[in-house]
Amino acid sequence: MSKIIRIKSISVQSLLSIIAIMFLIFFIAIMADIFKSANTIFLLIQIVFVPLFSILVLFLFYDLFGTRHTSFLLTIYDDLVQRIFFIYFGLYSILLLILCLSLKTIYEDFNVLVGFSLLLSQILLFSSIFLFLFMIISDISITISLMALYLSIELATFGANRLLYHAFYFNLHTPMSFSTIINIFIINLTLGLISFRLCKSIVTFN
Amino acid sequence: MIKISNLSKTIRRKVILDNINAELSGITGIIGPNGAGKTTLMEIIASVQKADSKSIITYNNNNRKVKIGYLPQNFNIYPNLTVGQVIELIASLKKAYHKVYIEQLIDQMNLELYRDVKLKKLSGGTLQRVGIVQALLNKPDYLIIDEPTTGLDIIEAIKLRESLLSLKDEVEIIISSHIPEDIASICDNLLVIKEGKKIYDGDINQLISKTSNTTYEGIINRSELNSANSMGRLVRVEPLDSNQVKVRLVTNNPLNNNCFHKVEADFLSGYINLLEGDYNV
Repeated sequence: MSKIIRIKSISVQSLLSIIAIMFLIFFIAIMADIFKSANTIFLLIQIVFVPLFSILVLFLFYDLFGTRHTSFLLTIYDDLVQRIFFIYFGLYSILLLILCLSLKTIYEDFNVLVGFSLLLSQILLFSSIFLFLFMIISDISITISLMALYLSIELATFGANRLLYHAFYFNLHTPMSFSTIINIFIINLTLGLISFRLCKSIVTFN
Repeated sequence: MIKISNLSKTIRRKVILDNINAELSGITGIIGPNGAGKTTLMEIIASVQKADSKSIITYNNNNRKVKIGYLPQNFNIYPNLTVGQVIELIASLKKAYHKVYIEQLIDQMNLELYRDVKLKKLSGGTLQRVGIVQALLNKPDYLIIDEPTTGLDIIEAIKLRESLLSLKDEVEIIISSHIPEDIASICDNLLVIKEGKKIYDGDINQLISKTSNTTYEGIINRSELNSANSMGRLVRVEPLDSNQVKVRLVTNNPLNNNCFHKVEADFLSGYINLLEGDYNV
């Protein structure tokens, strides 16, 4: 498995470099205490790191769903799609946990468990939904465009568009607690798991 | 040997393959015009696609689990990875990473010099050889190769055929192509399909012998090509100079024309006669 992860990482090394740079920028920004509140920087973390993971997953499985060899490659990948997904999910979670812990060191009112849980539910939701879309439309640029469209609308309306589901926490004033994020967390998790199951059914044909 | 019984495939009510029965052994060539259903048949044999419910494919493998190596058309899945990385990745995905065996395959397919070259920089022939290596990684009983020489120049095509012939004793090979030279130079047996139906299944020489008394060759003026075409099926036209051409044609009617003489039939004559003829063999 380590060989697969190593070579898969080579295939997405530009994106991994971007993620590493963004991580460093955010880490330094947090430590330099340049934001007024934890909520402001947490919102930026959501907007940047959640879509980045989703794009990473799309490129990780580009060979499977973006080329014309889906049926052939599925016979080779077998059960490995899930395992590869969860390994990257786990590694990315560590990155997010470090950011949350660093936030806690500067902003005492920031709840690490709440912030981290919300981010996990968001990366599960985004990566599963857009991977499912990618599996159906087999076009990575359209998939990423749809993601960018959703993000743009959410940012432009600050999570107030009535037609869309709001996966992000936009409140900049109220400190985050389980009671303030519980609805978003549960819906993100539920939709994320449903999308993941749909992806799995396509990969395993059942 | 692979035995195919009542194999059919329908996609959105369109019949792609229609009740195909055949036995494939040795190096078998599956040939037919574009759109005949070759790729679908190859994918079904390679277990990449499912056939309709009553279809049966039996792999004669002494009750061992059958292992299949498959090379699809246009194997250019990882353009930004090097040859070494692609082979390592697919070997790991197939859970068949054996360093010594991989080195042996790289050596056998003459890929040593290309180990650190990205796939997008390889020529078509070299890319196909990488594809063959990936198909052989799990030491398959059957190697199934779809249209391997499409898009290759003649030198690359010849090299690839030689590479395939070098595997003859190690694995049973099934190769599909719409290029008769591929089949004639590599295969022992033949399955010809046209519009999803089998029109020939058997020995190549037997197919050639069917046209042995009906193949003629002659030198004519270019202006006579139309009339030659009306005498039979033109299978080859070779320009000699600005005025004359050497033509080969197949006809069931004896030719009483001084320009033409009987010649030994070849695969192309037999194949074209089969495709355009009215009979099934």
